Amino acid sequence: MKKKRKRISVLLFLFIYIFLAPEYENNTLKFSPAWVVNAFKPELGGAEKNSLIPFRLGQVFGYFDRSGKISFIDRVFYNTAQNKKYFINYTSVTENLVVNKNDGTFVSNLKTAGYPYFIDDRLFVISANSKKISEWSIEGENIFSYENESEIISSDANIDTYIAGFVDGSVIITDKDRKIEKLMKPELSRINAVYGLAISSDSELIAMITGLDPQYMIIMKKKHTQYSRIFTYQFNNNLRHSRYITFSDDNRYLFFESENIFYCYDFLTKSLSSTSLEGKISAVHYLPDSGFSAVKTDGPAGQSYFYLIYPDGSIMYRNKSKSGNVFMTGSGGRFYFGTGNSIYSVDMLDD
Amino acid sequence: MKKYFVFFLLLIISDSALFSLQWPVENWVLQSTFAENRGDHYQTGIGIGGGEQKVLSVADGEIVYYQEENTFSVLPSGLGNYIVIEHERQLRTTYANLKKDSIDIKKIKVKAGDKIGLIGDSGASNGPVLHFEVIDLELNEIVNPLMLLPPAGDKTKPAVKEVFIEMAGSKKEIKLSNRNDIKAGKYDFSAVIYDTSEYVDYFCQLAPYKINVYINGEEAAAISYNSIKKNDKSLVLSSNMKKVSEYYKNTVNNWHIYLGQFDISAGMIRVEIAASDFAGNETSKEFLLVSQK
Repeated sequence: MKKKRKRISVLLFLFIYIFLAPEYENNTLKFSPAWVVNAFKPELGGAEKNSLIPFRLGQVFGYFDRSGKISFIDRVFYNTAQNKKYFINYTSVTENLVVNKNDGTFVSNLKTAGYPYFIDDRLFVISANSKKISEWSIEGENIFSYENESEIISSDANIDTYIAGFVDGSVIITDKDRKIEKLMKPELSRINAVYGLAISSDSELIAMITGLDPQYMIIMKKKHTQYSRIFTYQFNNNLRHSRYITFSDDNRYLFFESENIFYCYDFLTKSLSSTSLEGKISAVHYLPDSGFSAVKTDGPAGQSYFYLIYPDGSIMYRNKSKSGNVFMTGSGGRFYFGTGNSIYSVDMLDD
Repeated sequence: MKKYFVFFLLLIISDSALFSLQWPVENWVLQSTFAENRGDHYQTGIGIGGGEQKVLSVADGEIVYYQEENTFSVLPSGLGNYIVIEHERQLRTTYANLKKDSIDIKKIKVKAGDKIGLIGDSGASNGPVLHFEVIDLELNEIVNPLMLLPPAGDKTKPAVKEVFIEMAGSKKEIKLSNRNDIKAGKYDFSAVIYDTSEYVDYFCQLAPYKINVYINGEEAAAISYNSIKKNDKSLVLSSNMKKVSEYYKNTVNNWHIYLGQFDISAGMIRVEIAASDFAGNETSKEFLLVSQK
C-alpha cells in the first residue's frame, strides 16, 4: 500500500515537471518541488496547527501545513468562507451560518442569513439580494450593518477600515469604530459603478476602478479626514465586471488588471508599469511574504498560463498548463498550487 | 373621424408611458412579489418562474455590470449570475439567478426584447426563477416592477387573516374578534395579510400591494408597496419608513404585518382593515372595539 502511494507521489512529481516546465524570465531564481499531496484522500493528522493554510479544490476544502500535512477536509455544501483559523460551510439558501474552527469544532451561529466572506480576520455577510453588508465577530455578535439601493460589487478591509463599492457608483467607508465615516461618489464618467476597490493597510490610500465611458483607476490619499484624488489612469476600454485591485503589504505598490494587462503602480517612483500577458487574466493572488503576484490567464483554446510577476511588474516565471491551477497561495519563499485533486508545493531558490 | 384618431393616438401614448417596460420573459409566472419578508431584508424585486426560457431586456439600454463564474468574483452573492442594465432617465434593471454560462454580453447596447440570458438557479433559490428588479437612480428608490410592467391580470383576492392589537407598553397581544371590550388608549395594530397567487396550482403566498386601516370610516393608515428607499443605514418601505424587522412582526410567520399605532378613545370604535393586490382585487375585515376609560 505504502509502495503504491510512493509510486503515485513520484508520478505526481513528474506531472508537475511536465506541466509546470519552468520558463524562467529571470535567471536569478529557480523553483524546486518540495512535496505533493492528494487532498481528496489524505492521511489526516500531524499538521502544525499554528500555521495552517486554507485551500479549496472543486467541492473539497480544508487546511494543510507548510510540510504538506493535511489537518482537515470536508465537502463544500454550496460555498465556503475560510480564513486561516475559521470556516463557514454554507448552502445556497443560507439561513444557518455556522462558524467552525479550522479543525471543524463549533464556534458560533450567526443570527443572520446571507453569504459570508473573510478579509483576513474580519468576517462579513452579504444579504441574498447583495444590498446589505454586515460585519460579525467570530462569536456571532453583529458589529455593523449597512443597506443600499444598489448591489455591492467590490470591497476591501484592513484591521481598522472597511470599504465597499456599489453598482450605483457609491462608496462607503467605515472607521475603526465601525461607524460609516464617509460616503463618496466619484462621478467622473458617463455611467457610474465601482468595479474594484482596495485600501492600504494604514488606511492612508484608497484605490478604485470606476465608471464607464471612460473607465478610470483612481488613487485617493487621506488628508486630515478626507480622501482626495492624487492619481488618475484612464483605461482605453470598458470592462463591466468586478475587477482585481490590491495594495502590496508594505503599501509601496498597487496591482490591478485589465483583460490581458497586469498593471503595477509604484508609489516610490510614482510610475505605472504594465505587462501584457497571453490570454485573459482570470485569477490573481498576491503572495504577501514574497511580494510576487501569481496570475492565471485563460487563452482562447482552453489553454491556461500561469505567471509569477515581480512587484515592479516584470515577469519572473511563465508556464503553460492544460489543467489550469484552481488554487494558489504562498508564504516565506514557498508557493502552493492546487490542481485536480492535488496540492503541491515548490520552493523558490537562489540560482 | 379626426376626433377618434386623436383619441386613439392619446390612448397609445398614455399606454406606452404607463407601461414603458415589457415583461422580461415571454411565459411568465409570478412567484414572489415586491417587499415580501426575507428575514433580514425585503424582497427588492419580483420572482418570475415559468421554466427555463429566454430572459429579455425590458427596454432599450446598456449593460453596466454582469457577474458570472468566469469573471472575478471578489464577493459571494445570492444573486448568482446576473446582469444590470441602465435605461433612459437612470432607470436600472437587474436580472438575477440566470443559468450558468447563459449570460449574453455580445451586445453591450441592447434593445427591448433582446435576449440577455436564460432563467436559472445560480443564486439563492430553490429552483429556476428570475429575480427581476428596477432601481430609479434619479429618485434613489427601488421601484415595484409591477408599476412599470404590463398588467398581470390577476383575479384572486388577498387574504386578511388574524388581526391583533397590543396596548402600548403592555407586551400583551389581543386577537380581535367581531366585538372586543378594551380600555381606551394607544394601541399597536398588526395583522396577518398576504395575497394569493392564481399563477400556480400550489399554495403560494405573495405580498399584497396596499393595506388601509380605517377607524370609524376615516383613513388612519395607508401602506403601499410602491417603492423601497434608504433611510440612514437601512432600506425602508417608502410609504411608512419601516425597516423589514419593524414591519414584519416576526420571521416565523412571514406575513404578520405591523400596521401602526392608533389612539382608541372611549366609545364604540369601528375598525376596518382592507388589503388589495396590484390588480385591484380587495378584501376587508371589520371589527368593533368597545372601549372604556
